[in-house]
Amino acid sequence: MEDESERRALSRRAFLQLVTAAAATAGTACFRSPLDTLVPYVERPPELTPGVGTPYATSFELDGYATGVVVECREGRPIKVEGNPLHPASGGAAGVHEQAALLDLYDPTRARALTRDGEVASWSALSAALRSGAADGTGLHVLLGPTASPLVAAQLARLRERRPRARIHFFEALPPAPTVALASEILGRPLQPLPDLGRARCIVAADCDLFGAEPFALRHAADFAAGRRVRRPSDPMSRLYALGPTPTPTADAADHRLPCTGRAVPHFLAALLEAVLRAEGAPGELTQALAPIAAAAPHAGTIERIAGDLRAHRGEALVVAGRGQPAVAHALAWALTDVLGGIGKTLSFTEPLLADATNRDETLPALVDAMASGAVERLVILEVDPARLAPPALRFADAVRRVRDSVALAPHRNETAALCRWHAPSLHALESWGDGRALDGTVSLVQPLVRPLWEGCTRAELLAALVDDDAASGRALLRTAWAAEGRDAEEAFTAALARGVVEASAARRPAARIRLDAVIRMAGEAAAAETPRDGDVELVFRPDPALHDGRFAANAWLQELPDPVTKLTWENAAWLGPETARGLGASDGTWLRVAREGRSIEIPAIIVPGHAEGSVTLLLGFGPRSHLPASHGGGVDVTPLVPAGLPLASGLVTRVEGRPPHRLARTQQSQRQHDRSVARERTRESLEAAEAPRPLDAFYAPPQGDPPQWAMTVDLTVCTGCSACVVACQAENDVPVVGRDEILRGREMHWLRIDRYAEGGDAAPRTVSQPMLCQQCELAPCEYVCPVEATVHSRDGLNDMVYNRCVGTRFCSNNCPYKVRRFNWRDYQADVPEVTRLQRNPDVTVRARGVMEKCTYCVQRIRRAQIRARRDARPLEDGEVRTACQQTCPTRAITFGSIADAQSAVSRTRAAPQAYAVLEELGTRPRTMYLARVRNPLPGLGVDG
Amino acid sequence: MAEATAIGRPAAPVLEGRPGDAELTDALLSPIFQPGPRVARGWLLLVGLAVLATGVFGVAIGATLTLGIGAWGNDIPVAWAFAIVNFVWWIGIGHAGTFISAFLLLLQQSWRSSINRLAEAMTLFAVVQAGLFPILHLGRPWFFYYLVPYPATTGVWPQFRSALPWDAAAIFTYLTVSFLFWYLGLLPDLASARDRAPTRLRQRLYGVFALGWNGSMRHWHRHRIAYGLLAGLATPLVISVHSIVSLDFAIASLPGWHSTIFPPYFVVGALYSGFAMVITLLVPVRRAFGLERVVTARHLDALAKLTLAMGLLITYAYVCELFTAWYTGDLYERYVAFVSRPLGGFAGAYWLMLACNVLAPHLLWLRRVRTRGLPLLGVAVLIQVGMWTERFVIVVTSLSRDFLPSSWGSYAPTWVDWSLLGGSIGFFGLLFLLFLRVVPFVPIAELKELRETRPEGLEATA
Repeated sequence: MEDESERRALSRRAFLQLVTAAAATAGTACFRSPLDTLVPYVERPPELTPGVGTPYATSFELDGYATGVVVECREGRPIKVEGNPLHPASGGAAGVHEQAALLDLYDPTRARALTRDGEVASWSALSAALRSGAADGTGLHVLLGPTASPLVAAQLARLRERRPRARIHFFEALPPAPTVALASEILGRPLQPLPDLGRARCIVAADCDLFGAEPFALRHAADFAAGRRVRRPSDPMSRLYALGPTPTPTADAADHRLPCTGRAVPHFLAALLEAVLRAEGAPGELTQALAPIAAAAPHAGTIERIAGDLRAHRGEALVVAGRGQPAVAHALAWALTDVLGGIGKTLSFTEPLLADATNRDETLPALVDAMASGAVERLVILEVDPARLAPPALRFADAVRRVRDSVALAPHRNETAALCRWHAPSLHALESWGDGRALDGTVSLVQPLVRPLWEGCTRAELLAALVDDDAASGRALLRTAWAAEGRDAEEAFTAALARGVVEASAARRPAARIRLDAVIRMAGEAAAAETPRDGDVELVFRPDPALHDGRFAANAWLQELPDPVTKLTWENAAWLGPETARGLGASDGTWLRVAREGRSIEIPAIIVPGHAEGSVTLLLGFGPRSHLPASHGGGVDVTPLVPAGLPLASGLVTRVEGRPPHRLARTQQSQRQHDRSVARERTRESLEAAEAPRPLDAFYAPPQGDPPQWAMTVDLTVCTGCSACVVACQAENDVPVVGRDEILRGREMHWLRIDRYAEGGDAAPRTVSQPMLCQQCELAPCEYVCPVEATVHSRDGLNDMVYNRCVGTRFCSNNCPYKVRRFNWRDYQADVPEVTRLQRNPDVTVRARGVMEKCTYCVQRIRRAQIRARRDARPLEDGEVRTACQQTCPTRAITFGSIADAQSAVSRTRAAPQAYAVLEELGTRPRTMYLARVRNPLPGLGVDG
Repeated sequence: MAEATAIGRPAAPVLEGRPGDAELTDALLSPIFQPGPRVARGWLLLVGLAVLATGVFGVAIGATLTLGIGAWGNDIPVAWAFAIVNFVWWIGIGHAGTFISAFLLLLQQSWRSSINRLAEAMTLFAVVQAGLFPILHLGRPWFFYYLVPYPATTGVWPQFRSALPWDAAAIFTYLTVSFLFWYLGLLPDLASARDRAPTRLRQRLYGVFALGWNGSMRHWHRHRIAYGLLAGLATPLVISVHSIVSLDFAIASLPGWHSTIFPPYFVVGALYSGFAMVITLLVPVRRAFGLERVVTARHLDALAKLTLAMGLLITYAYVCELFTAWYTGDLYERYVAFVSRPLGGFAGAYWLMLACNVLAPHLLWLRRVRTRGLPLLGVAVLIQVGMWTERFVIVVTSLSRDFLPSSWGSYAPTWVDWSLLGGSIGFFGLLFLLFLRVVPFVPIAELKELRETRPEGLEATA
């Protein structure tokens, strides 16, 4: 009681004491945690201006080959990837994987620490374990994927030298084409082919996704597109025939689509070769030897004409087979190119580039055998995932358990990492030192743009640790390897780092002579070995265009990227031709059971017009993953069915009775145009009569602005639908990922989408891929319906979105005839993990829930360029502003600029005879215009083939 | 002798019998002060149900506000769906009350007297529901005031080319005028309730809301003038509000929306559903409170005829819409009118709409249906369903199949969508049930006036 009253009666003295104490605490107690590295620069580093990005050249490797990129770093964070114009595989363009690789850097599911038996361990302990065995390397096995990296090759060479009994194995779920071994056989020396589409005017792509799955795809696409920009009928234009089971971006770009099973491709090529040889007057025994194989060729009626077309392009013809085709198809393709005079022109051969490409019998089965016999003491697995991707018949997992010390280098704790004793996190390319080679041999460097977010090491560093006692840093290793090549000048190294490529490093192209008799003998043997069984369906395995073999499964941008053909997101499905589907009684989403050699999977069907009948395409990369949330494990894992070696097999496909159909998360429901000329096409001849389009007279005068007046054109002739622009836009503009459930609800957020329309018969439809983005209408229907002026026109002809004025009535979207506006139905941006937010472009506003958003023509890039020009007191040059989609486009399909300048590139493309505006009859006067798809079919062959 | 109607048969009376003043007052105040035990029990049960439904409404609103519009089934291209359908449906229902009160007052249709209070209350409560949806429907509802022309420091005004600020203004005006009109008409009866209130508290409360009404000549004089003026003000609103609502669609270039027929078409549709709603409410209320002498077969007959007339007009509007779509030759219009609506994914809704709105009203040619409670109620409910479906067809089918086939989509409502629809019906029901027991729902004073001004014709007059 006494205490109570005392406390209440606060004396003056006590009050002052408290005030003093409070004042003292206020001054002392509010320190944050000790300042660590957040010290502002006393002197600003010359290369760093806050708010201004710094570009660094580096390169990314996929399927063993490197693509050069330039990555923009803002305040120490890499935020955007562009192609490196100096790099031959890029030419300034970047594909979906290059664009999306950035997101993998900020992937919160990455492994963050070295572990041993699941417990965090020290790197010195790992080094000790790596060198613990016999000094000559007995019992040491290394497993890695194919790579052309000189640094890795050098480390492997050192390993062989210092640990001669160590064995090195290569594994990839979908291995590269067996071209080097084939070359040994029919060229007499190990070489690898390098097609040059820039010199080819008549191309046959035989089950070859030149613009997608093949290495050098960006370059191929660019070279191909260069020969397709026509304005008049007299302009030269190349012609592409696409053969094969699966509709791909390459088949979509072709003038003639010739669907046939993968097995039939060599027959077609043999028939083509026979026809060409016959016409060339070759000795009868050659053509007679080919005749039995040619007899089973599909599209037999077209062969003579195609052969004639190829012969008409002597020296400019190219026949190329894809990585999914057997050696014989490649041999026939080379022989055809040779007979047509293309060797050295459209097709060259280079020294083999992949490390140990000549010694490929150290395969995964050999490793498993060694493991099973107990001969493997130490196993080092470098950035491959055999536990998931190896054929189950190998029983890889069981074998690994018999290894004393197994080490997996992997970015995630994936199936292989979980199986191995040690899991060393691998560094992202943007955190690494290294190098790589493009398909033409050009060496490019890999340099870090950011200190590793979490601990980890690279392949080269781990390989070095197998040999050296004190492992050198990645940079030192690269520097040493560089010096060993006889290029030890530091200036040259620095210059190469700055450029991203090493000058004059392209591989030599020795002259090659095809031994035609060897090819024909091979073809005969292959035909004899074939034993097709009745009732079987051909299974074609392909890497997913986005997730590849599953290594990008953690990447939400790629998960949500609609497939270029089916527009399916977050999952895969079995692709069927319409007739095959009818035979099975299947429609979209019907569950199928696909069985092969005692194993089976259940997978939903998706009907793809233009797919070969009697064949089913299965995409790798999907299915639940142990290290990823369930959302990233959509679709069905098809690896249980993947054969070792060639990704073609026979299987049984039946309908699963009683299982309710699966809802496919597609972003485009109808690929038919319903007689609406939205994605237009025309033949080359029809360009003569066409005149430049004239906009409709408007009742109200369009708003008058000041120069520049921004506009864009998209050339549908060269657009392959590869979707690199979609990812580029997403990266540039912080476009959120919404997930499968929201896709099913129709709520994808892509500012730029690619519509695909298929016309003509289902067997071989003509397709057009049409990038659809805000059309920036001069008389924009969205603007006048907005009740709060949240979408208004700028003086330079942009349709602006004022996010903080938007209340979200969505009237603008209803009134947008192009439906390019996207609404934040939920707080999508809040779902972005903390670390992933580091990727966000600081020049772009992050949109709140309930706000409409859409393509801005990359207004932040426009303003940046204008500020730069104003600072330099000069006018803005044409082409100075490049939108993200334009910059990354491999085929340069997108032109952007000001139409206030009549001489600008965009003004000139708008004047092309095939230019048109989508839905121009509505009087919206879109600033985005399209150049109709111009086709160059072989007269008389019929567009449908 | 009964006056002959146009078709030569004697019309039913608008008031049966000759009750005295006190008798009439007591009878019409009894639902408030001395309801029978059955009525009171039934009322409580219904209020319980309505509270439950209102609770669901609250939960759905909570979900919408916390999760965002993502809690609904809306998508791109169907960015407007249930909420807008509900909005148009409710605002349409809200038209009949004012039409009956104001329009018919100006036209001196004396039969309106028995039912106008109920119709006005229905209007008011329907507009309350309608007013909720546009706000809930915003992506950022906390900024709804951006649609109001207030002197903002930003200097930005609403965009007057859009229909939506006008829409907001129209709804608000309509709500205000409807409320004033209803309240003004209520004043004499509130005074009666005050005078008859059994408890002191109720007397006080009714006294406050009666605003000191004492039935003096002066009061009546001013009341009459004010009431007439408000009727004059409310009448054009009946036309304008739904015309403006229709412009929310008609100013868009979307096939299926872009149509000059929309304003009259929507007004007719609104009255159609409004009359159906009046019937839906009137028939059970009349039965429950034993008001057959006050709300006679004559009233039902008149309402049914009006409904039938509106049904024929709406049929004409449908035909016009189809004809226009065909006659323009416009590819997109034709697709919506002749393919996606009758044959597409929402064909069921389209045919249900036609069955309910075009076929069902023809039952009203039959006098038996017009004057008997239950069959009339059945037709009215069908029309309500039909009119909701009509708005669904207009909003959703048009959006789901617009210009580019690539962006075609579908729509599936979520539990939140259904809860908002059901919940708003529950909330409307709750307000209406409270209204029944709180204020006299048949205008006592007007009935007395009716009795006095037409002493000779009460048995059967018009």
